[in-house]
Formats: sequence, C-alpha cells, structure tokens
Amino acid sequence: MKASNARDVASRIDIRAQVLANRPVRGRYWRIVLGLPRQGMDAFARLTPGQFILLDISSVGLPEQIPPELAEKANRHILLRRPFSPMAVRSTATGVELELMYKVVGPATVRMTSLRPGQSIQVLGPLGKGFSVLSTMKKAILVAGGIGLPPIYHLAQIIRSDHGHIMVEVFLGIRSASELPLDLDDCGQVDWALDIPVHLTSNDGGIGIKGLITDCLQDWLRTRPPQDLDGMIIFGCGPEPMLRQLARIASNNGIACQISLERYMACGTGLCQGCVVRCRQAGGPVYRLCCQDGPVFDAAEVLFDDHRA
Amino acid sequence: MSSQPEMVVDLAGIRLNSPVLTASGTCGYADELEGLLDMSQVGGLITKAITLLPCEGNLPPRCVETDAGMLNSIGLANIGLDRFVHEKLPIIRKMGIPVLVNVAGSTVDQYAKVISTLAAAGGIAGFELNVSCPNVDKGGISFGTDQGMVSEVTAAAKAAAGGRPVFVKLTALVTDIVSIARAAVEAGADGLSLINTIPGMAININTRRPVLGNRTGGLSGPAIRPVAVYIVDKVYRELARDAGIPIIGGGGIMDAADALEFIIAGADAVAVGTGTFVDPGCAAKVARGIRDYCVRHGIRRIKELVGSLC
Ligand SMILES: Cc1cc2nc3c(=O)[nH]c(=O)nc-3n(C[C@H](O)[C@H](O)[C@H](O)COP(=O)(O)OP(=O)(O)OC[C@H]3O[C@@H](n4cnc5c(N)ncnc54)[C@H](O)[C@@H]3O)c2cc1C
Ligand SMILES: Cc1cc2nc3c(=O)[nH]c(=O)nc-3n(C[C@H](O)[C@H](O)[C@H](O)COP(=O)(O)O)c2cc1C
Ligand code: FES
Repeated sequence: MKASNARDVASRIDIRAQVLANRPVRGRYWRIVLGLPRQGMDAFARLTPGQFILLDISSVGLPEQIPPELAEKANRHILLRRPFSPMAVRSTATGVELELMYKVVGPATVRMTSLRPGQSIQVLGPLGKGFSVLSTMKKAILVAGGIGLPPIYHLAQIIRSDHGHIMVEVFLGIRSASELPLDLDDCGQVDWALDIPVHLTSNDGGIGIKGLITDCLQDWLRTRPPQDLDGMIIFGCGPEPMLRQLARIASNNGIACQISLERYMACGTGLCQGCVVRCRQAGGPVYRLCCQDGPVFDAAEVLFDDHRA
Repeated sequence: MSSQPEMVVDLAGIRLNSPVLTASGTCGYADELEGLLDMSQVGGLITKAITLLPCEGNLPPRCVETDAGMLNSIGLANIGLDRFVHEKLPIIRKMGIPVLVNVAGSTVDQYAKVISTLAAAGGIAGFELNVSCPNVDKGGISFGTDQGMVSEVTAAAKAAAGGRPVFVKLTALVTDIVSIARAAVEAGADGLSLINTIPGMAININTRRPVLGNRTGGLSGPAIRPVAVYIVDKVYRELARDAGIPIIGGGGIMDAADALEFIIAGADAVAVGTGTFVDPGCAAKVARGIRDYCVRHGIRRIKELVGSLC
C-alpha cells in the first residue's frame, strides 16, 4: 500500500521566507502568501496536506489596528513559534509559495497582520504527518470546521490534481456568515474554484444551512445508498468536539476517517514531549505526539475523553 | 589559525569542543536535531531524563507559553532504560560529540541501576543527576531540596558510574543553594548543573482551572535567566571556585550575550534549553557568538572568561 505522505525527517528545513501578500479575507480571517527561496524548494514542494510549518513571530511588531477585544492579550511577548497548516503550496520559477489562512486569536496572529510584502519571516517545516490518500479510495468526504479549513482546502486541491478518480464532497461548518473564510462567487455561493460540491452550515443560519456540520453530514449520509459507502473516506479538521462527533459518525457507518488534531506545541519537532494525544493500542492506551505521529491521526485510534479542553 | 580563540573546555575530564551544550529534555535522546543544528559547533548534548522503566508522563496539556518563558509539566515521559540502550546508544556512539545522560528515578536504587547499566554499556561521556524535576511526586525536586537525599543519591551514582563524571542538577527553589551544592560535592559530584526549571503555575480565569493538566509545571526561558545567573554566581564564589568543581550554567539562554553572563559568573559550560524550541540552531548560534566575542575582546582561551566577574 503506497501512502503519499511518508515522513521524511531529513527534509525539514529552517529557512527565511519573504512575505509576498497578506490580506484580510473576512472577519478575523486573513491569508498570507510566503515565498521560499530555491533551497526550500525540495522540502516544501513535497509538503502534504495536513503537514504543518512553524512560524517565528517573535520579532514581528504589532499592527496599528488591533481588535479591541484582543488589545490586552496582544501586548504579550511571544517566545515560541506557532504552527500552521498551509492551504496551498505552489511551485514557481524561483522557488515555492506557501499560502496560509489564519484566524486572529492572540498575540502571534495579531502580529501577523502587520506583515507587509517584502518583509521576511523564519519558517521551519514541513513537519508532522499529513493526510494519506490511497489509490483504493473512491470518494473523499472533506469536513472542515472554521479555521480547520486550510489543510482540508489543500487536500481538496491535491485530490483533484493527483487522484482524479476520487470523487470529492466538501462539508464546511462556520459560526456565522461573517466568519466565512472563503470568497463568494457571483451567485453568492462559496467559491472553491475547484468545481467541488460544498455543503455549508452556520450556527446562526445566516449563511448555508442552520446547524452543525456534523448533523448535515449525518443527514446526507442517510440518503446515500449503502454501496456508496464502499471506498469512502472522511477527512476532517476543526474543533475537537466536531472531530469527536466525526469519529463517531465514521465508526457507526463503517467509514474510514482521518482527522487533524491541534495541541499546544512548544517545539513542533518531537523534542519536548508536550503535545501528546491519547491513543488506543493493543496493550493499553498510549500517548502519541501530535507534532510527529500526527497532527493527522486515524480517528478510530484517538481517545478523545482524555484531553481536557 | 593562531588568531582563533581556544574554545575547548575540559569539563571534569570530558573534552568539549565548545562550551555550549543542549539542555536535557529539549534536544531529544540523540540525533533528533540533525539537519537543524550544526553539531560541529556544539560541545555536547544532554539527553532527556532516562528512568529505569518507560514513563508515559503527565496528563495534557503539558506546555504553555507564559510571558518571556514557558511552563512544562512533561513529567519525565521517556522510553526507559532498555529502549534507550538498544535504540539510542548505537546512534550516540556514532555522533562524534560527548553525550551526557540525564538520569531520574523515584528511589536511590533506580538512579544507581540506570547509571551502572549505562556505564557498562559504554558510549556515554558522563551523567547528569536530575534531582530537580518539579513535575514528579517522588525523586526529582523532593530529593534536590533535601541535603541528605542529595548526598545519598550522589554517592550511589558515583559508585555506579564506573569512573565517569557525575554532574548533579539542582533546583533554585531552596533556601540555601550552597549547602545543597556542598552536599553533592562532598558526596563525590564531579560537577554541578545549575539550574533546572522553577516551579510555576498558570490559571485559566474563564474556567478557573489550572492551564496544565498536572496543575503546576516548571518555568523555563528568559524569565528565569536572572535567577539562574544569580545562583551560578553564588555557588561559584562560595563553593565551586575553591573546590575546583565545574559548573554547567543554564536557564533562559537565547543568545551569546546570555551565555556569556553565565560564563563570566563562573560557568565552565552552558546549556541551551527552551532556546532550541524557538530556534533549533540556537546552540550553534550561541557558540559562534561566544567565539566572536572572544575575538572582539582579545580573549585567547575561553577559560580566561570563566568566573572573570570584576
Ligand atoms: C498542526 C496545527 C496547524 C494549525 N494550522 C492553523 C492554520 O492553518 N490557521 C490558523 O489560523 N491556525 C492554525 N493553528 C492554530 C494556531 O497555531 C494558533 O491559533 C496560534 O498559535 C495562536 O497564536 P496566538 O499567539 O495568536 O494566540 P494564543 O494566545 O497563543 O492562543 C489564542 C487562543 O488559541 C488557543 N491555542 C493557541 N494555540 C493552540 C494550539 N496549538 N492548540 C490548541 N489551542 C491553541 C489558546 O488556548 C488561546 O485561547 C494550527 C495549530 C496546529 C497545532
Ligand atoms: C519541555 C522541557 C523538558 C525538560 N526535561 C528535563 C529533563 O528531562 N531533565 C532535566 O534535568 N531537565 C529538564 N528540563 C529542564 C531544562 O534542561 C533546563 O534546565 C531548563 O529548561 C532551564 O533552561 P532553559 O531556560 O534554557 O530552558 C526540561 C525543560 C523543558 C522546557
Ligand atoms: S511539540 Fe514538542 S514534542 Fe510535539
């Protein structure tokens, strides 16, 4: 069985990237494009969806505009690097471009909004184990909650470009219309620019269907003929309660499921043993490292109850 | 190359090509930093704490950033002596730099067993006794705050070490650091490692729960550096200088200037911990910076700087 994400520790690199673009999308969501020089090309061009990078924000200054509710928090000093899973990777004539989508939630992400084209920033990656796409898969159900979208978006592109035979269906859950992290097309529909069906829910019903994305998925699955579930796989990234529910749905329907988890990461490289995820194993539960064994895990393996939010 | 300053350090008989080490628990067991850290610049590596049996560590969350530092409550999670010997020692033997093994346990016997097994296996330059971990109930800091226990564990370690140097790593959270350090030295310690993380705590005010799964943790990073420099200065002046005992200094070292404070205060070598998380190449950068400083200040041998505080 050939997985497309064999971890290759030797290919990690810590490198200076140029900011090429950085713009607000909507609400607290921003997108930033980083240009990596030629030396970064080999390593980053092979970044698989779900793998992540660490950004050093420690020397980035505060922007003039700070969301008032984050003003106090934003003044905190930053020490540790921050993890991000890119939403797109593009090879160019001069190197590689990484596009990130980020949500402004604290001191590091507030600072990131001050980055301007021409500035540079230190990037370590690619890290961790991403989603594995196998040639035996027939239909991929991609489920994202809020800022869980970037690696799911990346995965959709890779399946489209490298695994043409796999059908793709996207489920995206957000809180409200103001938190839609994507653009809308001329018809007011979510614009994936990939010709993929998108099911959209919002908690307040302001856009898409009102409710939770996992309920929407469950309803949709009920309408499928049983043979449709054959060769189906669910890929998910989002808040942990959503992932837990996703794992349950997958297991109840006998569908394979891979989920990308989030943990506080001090090192991102397996050194600190800080980012543990409780997992099932034959001899009893074990801790695995989110940064090294994950962030993508087989949903059936994860013990959700052990993690205090 | 006669204008190049001499950076070699003799650390209780261990020859280091540079005074900069990577600190326990922040650099893995062996070659985990390969490709990210230029090992030729680094004097040596201190492994994650090894215990007799594998240890799964504390409940998550285990790490959180704080102002100018971080708290961790890893709880000595490690693969245990057996796997270390079989999987990591062969790599260590090929690394070409001295490796000190950080040893922890909940009884004196456990320390001794780990050390005698490793001493017999070979490939290890020396040992660092962790009697200062704030994240375990037994052993760790409860040994390091008790002169009698420090003395007992050091003597047992020395007897098990087969002549290899033993460093005792102490906590700053004691009323009188010099008497604890003296207990270690009198029991046969070849050197001191100062300091481990300082116990600390963070509370989530919205949930009114501790942020860390283990309630409390150990503070590291720039926030603790002035405390660590203070301890090194005090122990050097009041004990180590006259006893001829080398000190590995560390706590919050992020760059060469930070490291030089420790050296000037009396440390023969320095250990970079949290700095490696921020920049995996940090230890090499610190080593290069120390060399540049020596060149700028006409220092011919790093030894001249040790304890040179005016
Ligand atoms: C593998 C991985 C990939 C990620 N990809 C993205 C991405 O593509 N886009 C994006 O916007 N964010 C992503 N994140 C989350 C992102 O790293 C954090 O939002 C960021 O570190 C916050 O930094 P800050 O200083 O702005 O806020 P902080 O003050 O550090 O955090 C703000 C809030 O977020 C929570 N938080 C911060 N970091 C984490 C974490 N690692 N795990 C759980 N909770 C956390 C804190 O509890 C706090 O309430 C990813 C995280 C991981 C582990
Ligand atoms: C995540 C983490 C794990 C650590 N694990 C150990 C350990 O196993 N044994 C030990 O003696 N010290 C351990 N330490 C302490 C460091 O070796 C070092 O003494 C301390 O962090 C202070 O240095 P720093 O500020 O440069 O990090 C650990 C520190 C951190 C941050
Ligand atoms: S973040 Fe340090 S081990 Fe995973």
